[in-house]
Amino acid sequence: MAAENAGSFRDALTRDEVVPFLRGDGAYRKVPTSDFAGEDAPTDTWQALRDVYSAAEETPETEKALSDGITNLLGGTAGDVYLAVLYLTRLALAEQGNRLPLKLPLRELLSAAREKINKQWEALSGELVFPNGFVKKRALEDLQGWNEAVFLPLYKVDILRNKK
Amino acid sequence: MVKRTDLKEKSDRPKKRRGAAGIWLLLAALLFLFGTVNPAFAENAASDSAVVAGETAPAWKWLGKAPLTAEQVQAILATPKGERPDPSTYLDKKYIERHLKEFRQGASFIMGLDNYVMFVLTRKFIGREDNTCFVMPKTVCDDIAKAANGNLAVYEQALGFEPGYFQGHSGLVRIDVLDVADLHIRIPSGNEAGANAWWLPGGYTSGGVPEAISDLIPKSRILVTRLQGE
Repeated sequence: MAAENAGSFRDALTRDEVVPFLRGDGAYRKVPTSDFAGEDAPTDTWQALRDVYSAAEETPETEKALSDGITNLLGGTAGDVYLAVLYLTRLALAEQGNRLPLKLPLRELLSAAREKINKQWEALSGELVFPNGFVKKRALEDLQGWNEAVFLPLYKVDILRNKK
Repeated sequence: MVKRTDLKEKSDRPKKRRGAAGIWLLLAALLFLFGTVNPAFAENAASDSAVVAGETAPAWKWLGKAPLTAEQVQAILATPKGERPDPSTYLDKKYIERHLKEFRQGASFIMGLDNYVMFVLTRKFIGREDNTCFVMPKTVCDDIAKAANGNLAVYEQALGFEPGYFQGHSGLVRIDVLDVADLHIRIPSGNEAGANAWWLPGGYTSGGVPEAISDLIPKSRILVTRLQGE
């Protein structure tokens, strides 16, 4: 593997490590280049997705790999579920802004997210510790905010419906 | 509390992309529900007179750097994050006071629109889990805005964002906090959650922009200005 590909989505695809890539485990962790970026997540999901988009230009299976990766995240820990929804929020905003160069089953993924959030509700209420050491508190507040600001108005999907 | 918001489009920057326009409309609607915008401030930012780069050096270009030797910087950077020393142990009191004085007229930061929606708009407080938020002096942000004159690339270069970052977010959002008296503005130690691999000791970004950290900022206190750019 070429050194310049180390930590990239292409690298992760080759190694079958899409979930670790999305989660920012080890060398896959993306760090915002500016102190002012405001990304408050275990990895810079904007950079991660930009990497995915770049891979998609040459690798046809990228769309399915990303979709499967998010699905797998949704089947993981509460932290994984939180991060999956964070990616879905970013993807939804990109889609609404005509900036999403991939075709993804976002509604299906949101439905899956609703189910997984319900299952992980208690864990999501506590402190989430990610494999790379990032700690997230008050994850449910973010999920509620994204639901009200993005998923409900743009997709008419209530990812927290089961909890109301 | 729901407040009326009035997020005004910059008059000389027509919407060029339907999708981008859509997301701005969404933002306006969301701000109506969640946010606080000072329309007068938005007007003020929109009317910034142009400063031609190269003719008038923006303030952030010539503000002094920290009085630290290369050895001191290396030693601090070599210290694991979480164990780095308090800046008061290697910066003298006068330097710290002078640096923090820059923030008396307010603090600002710039972020991509998507990040604004995800990490500011939907929260009650702005910042990270460790009660910190990186900010720059409002006056410096004013200078960058003048130099940029709507060009997002100037913001990216000045603030250390990657080229194309703000286009990838459908534009940028500027956040100002005028009342910082109780926000505990201080020089970062490098232990903050938001301190990245490019962090440098002494209160300046790697691009030379003065920076500090504040406590979590109540969203009710912020002024929001957006810029879609070219």
